[in-house]
Amino acid sequence: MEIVAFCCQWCSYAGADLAGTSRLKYPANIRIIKIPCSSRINPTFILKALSKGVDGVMVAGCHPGDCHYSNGNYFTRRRLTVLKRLIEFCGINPERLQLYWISAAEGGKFAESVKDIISRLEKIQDKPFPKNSGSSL
Amino acid sequence: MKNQTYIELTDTLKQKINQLLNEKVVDYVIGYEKGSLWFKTRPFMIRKQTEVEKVIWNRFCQFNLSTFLKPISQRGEKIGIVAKKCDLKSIVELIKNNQVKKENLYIIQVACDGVLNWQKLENFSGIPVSKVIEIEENALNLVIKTSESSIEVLKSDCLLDKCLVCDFQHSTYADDFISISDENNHEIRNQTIPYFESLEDVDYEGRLEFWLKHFSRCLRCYACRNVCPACFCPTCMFDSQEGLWISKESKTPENYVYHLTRAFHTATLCVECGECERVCPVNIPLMKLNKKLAKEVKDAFGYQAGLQVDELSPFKTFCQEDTDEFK
Repeated sequence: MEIVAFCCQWCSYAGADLAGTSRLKYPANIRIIKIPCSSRINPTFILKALSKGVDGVMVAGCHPGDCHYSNGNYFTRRRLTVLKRLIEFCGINPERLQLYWISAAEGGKFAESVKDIISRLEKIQDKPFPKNSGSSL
Repeated sequence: MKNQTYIELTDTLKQKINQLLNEKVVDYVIGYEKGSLWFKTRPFMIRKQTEVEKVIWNRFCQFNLSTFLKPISQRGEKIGIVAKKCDLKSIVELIKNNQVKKENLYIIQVACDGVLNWQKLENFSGIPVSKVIEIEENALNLVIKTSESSIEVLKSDCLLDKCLVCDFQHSTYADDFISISDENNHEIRNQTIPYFESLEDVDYEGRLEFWLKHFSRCLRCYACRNVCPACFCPTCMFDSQEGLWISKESKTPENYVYHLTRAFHTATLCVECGECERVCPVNIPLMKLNKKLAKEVKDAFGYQAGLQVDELSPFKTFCQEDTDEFK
């Protein structure tokens, strides 16, 4: 199982760091991509990841109200709400897209979130996109 | 095509355009002229008064002319534009998103009683459009005449889908409203058409199969993007040479990303004019996507595109109390 995790550099990425330095165990299925803010995410990132055959996409940002850029994560929340409904309509199980709010002090929550998305994806019956079916780009 | 109302409307429209050009209120007017075949119309830029005679207004003026405001609106010329009620929504979106200035526009709204779809006309009458000599109209029917016979079909069967769900409001943004009388056949419109509902009963794999089947035909000709009045980015991300987000190859997963991205980008801008679906050379049912997204945006944020100039698009603002669907 492969999961792409987009982590905001101010909160969730530091949270992932904390999970590592605290020696917390979480499944090794995730590939973390550091982004400046969760609102940096272009929906195309997520769509592209899914169309490449990843099982799930995890977006992690600062808690609402705690955004380093004051309000980026509020925009993320709105966009992903619509994107989730769009992929659901186009045949991708919406469980494959998860959004978590993880602060830099929440290494434990980061580990729990990874476990959470894995357990959600294990319950899913339908298949993701076939792997590497797109172009090599 | 014989319809007294439309003939009178055309005359009034010609007078109006003549007057606008004469008084130099506008530099030119975007309207319709006769197309290559009797049931076709094409966009027409009227610059001289001698050209005004060519202007037409009939039941086949389907093109959403506001698309032309995208490339030319930056030149600072004053443009007159002929618009149906549904086209006005696109213009409102363009003004709202600073693509065109209201003071550079002169909007001539013309009364519209629904646009006919020639493919439907062919299907319901069983007569190839090339053989049709004349169409006459009465209250509810169209009388289609060929050299040998004449057949009556219901008007509502031949209108475009978007006209069947048209809600007839007259926008306050038009500078001029050309109408003869308000005798529209309201009873044949205002229907509900299932666009995407049937797909909602299918499971995820079925839906994916449905979309991949359609997107596998996509040629990536970008006609849907080019005709779309909501697609006004100066450099489209699919043309960008810097970050190649998706390949330019026409492969099914790439097409899937392309169409979903485009649908998402226009989610709060789409006024459901149906131009993307009309120009698609391989008949991808794009309106299913657009209608669904418009409904979701309305459900989530109570926002409808194309109604108010001063309303903020839901993606440009936020509310701390927004519901978190990911909990």
